[in-house]
Amino acid sequence: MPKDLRTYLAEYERAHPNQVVRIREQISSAQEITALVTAVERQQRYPIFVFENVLTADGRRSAFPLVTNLFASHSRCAELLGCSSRTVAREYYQRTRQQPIPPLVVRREEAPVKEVVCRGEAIDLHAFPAPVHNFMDPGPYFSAGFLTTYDPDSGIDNCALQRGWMKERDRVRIWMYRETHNALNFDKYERMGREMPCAYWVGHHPLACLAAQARLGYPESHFAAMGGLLQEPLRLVPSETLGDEFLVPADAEVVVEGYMQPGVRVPEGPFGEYPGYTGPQVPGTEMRVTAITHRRDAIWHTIMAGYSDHQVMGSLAIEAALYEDVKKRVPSLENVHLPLSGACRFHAYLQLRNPRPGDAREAILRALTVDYRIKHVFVVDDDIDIWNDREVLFALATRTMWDRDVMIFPALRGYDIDPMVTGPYACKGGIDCTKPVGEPFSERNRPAAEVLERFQLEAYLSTEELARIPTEQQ
Amino acid sequence: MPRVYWVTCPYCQFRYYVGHTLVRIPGFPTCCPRCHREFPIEQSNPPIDPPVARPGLRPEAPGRM
Repeated sequence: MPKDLRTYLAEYERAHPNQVVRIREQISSAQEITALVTAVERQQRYPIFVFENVLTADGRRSAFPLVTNLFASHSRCAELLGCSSRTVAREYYQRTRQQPIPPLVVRREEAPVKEVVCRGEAIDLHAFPAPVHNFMDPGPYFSAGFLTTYDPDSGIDNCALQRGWMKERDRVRIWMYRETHNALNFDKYERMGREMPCAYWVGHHPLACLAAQARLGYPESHFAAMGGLLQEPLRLVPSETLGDEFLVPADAEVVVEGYMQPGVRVPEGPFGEYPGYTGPQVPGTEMRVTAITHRRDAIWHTIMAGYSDHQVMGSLAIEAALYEDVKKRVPSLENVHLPLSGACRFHAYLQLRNPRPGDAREAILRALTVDYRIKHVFVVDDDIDIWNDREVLFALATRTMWDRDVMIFPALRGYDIDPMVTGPYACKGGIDCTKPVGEPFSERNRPAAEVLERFQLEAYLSTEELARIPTEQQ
Repeated sequence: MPRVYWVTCPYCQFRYYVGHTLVRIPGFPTCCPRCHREFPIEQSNPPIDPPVARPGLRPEAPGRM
């Protein structure tokens, strides 16, 4: 059986019954889902939620359930790849970049996503329980919709997580950042004066979703990268209204087909984005929907835009690119992490083992060019746990002199979603938080190794006694 | 250049913001996220904050560039 969203949910729920929460009470998709998920997230709990009784933004009871928070936990994402948080970036890179698997084309009769085909008057995007996430959002959005286009020159596919406001039952307003490959494809179509065929696919195995965010060259196939991460060929099927050459994932839950109009810009947003802020209304493009195909009992997948689900999901692809790119120039690189405290984009923690003189600064230079979203790079030694912000801040506090260790680079590429960016440029930088190479340096406080080796806490405090002592966040 | 410009919808008084990429296109409309009416930012009531001076509307092709 091919891997898809429902095979994953069934397997995961069997293995982790407490990590899948089913909400059967009626709930509105207009911000109530966000209120519920974030209330639980504030308690540092990140289960998968399945909402079985959702009112759509216009007050109808949706026939479809909604699943969210699939990616909110970094360790769950690592488990998907069969590894730990410490090694997930390397594993992700190897499978998506070094072991891609070409997709497989199947007949329409074999494609679950073709069980229901809607055209013309039957098209109704508002039948799906897509949430209005935040207070300033103008309506329901595709937040886990992977917009798929093809490069008109090479015919190679590209997928990207790109937000789309379901403005009308058959119209979607889309914002594509100018650097994205879908925007480059659209630019080519616009120069030819032609409308661009495009499709959103929603709901697939989480590995397919993660690989659809792989940082690839232009043009390179996301469908092959998805096969690499899934470790089986992604099954594709011809579209209904975009031609037989336009292929879409056969095992998705929903596919929305349409055309993007050349030369047309429409107001899109505001929208709560991954930095945790609502981004302003901007000129977007418009997609005219020509068909919707879906499974009879389709599960609508949404990402909690601007919260852990969204932030962690996008971090794996960047961590993978960061590790591979910096490692080539700085062999002492041990590991990388994009922490939630930097929205999993803006801060990069780099850990070095036995660095050579200059390694830290070279790592900073390199890291700042890997991805335009990385803004601040912190380089630490390997005794610092980069999955613990407090440890990194300790290194920042005790191993830096800012006249010597801070590097600042004005006017690098900015990213519109960054709430501090007001034009095409951003000021970025890095801090070398490693101990001075080749110089004697103070030791951290600790008992001697032989004491730690023979010491056992349980000999003095039972597990129950320890559990009775209140914890405190300091 | 400010990153966001506050707009108040003249129809439903919802307050929201638009970005500099929208403001700098002459005649480009805004769409109220609450009532979905489209109008030129000059019709914000109270006026757009911070104030912005831009050339007049292009009535021949609203929404196109």
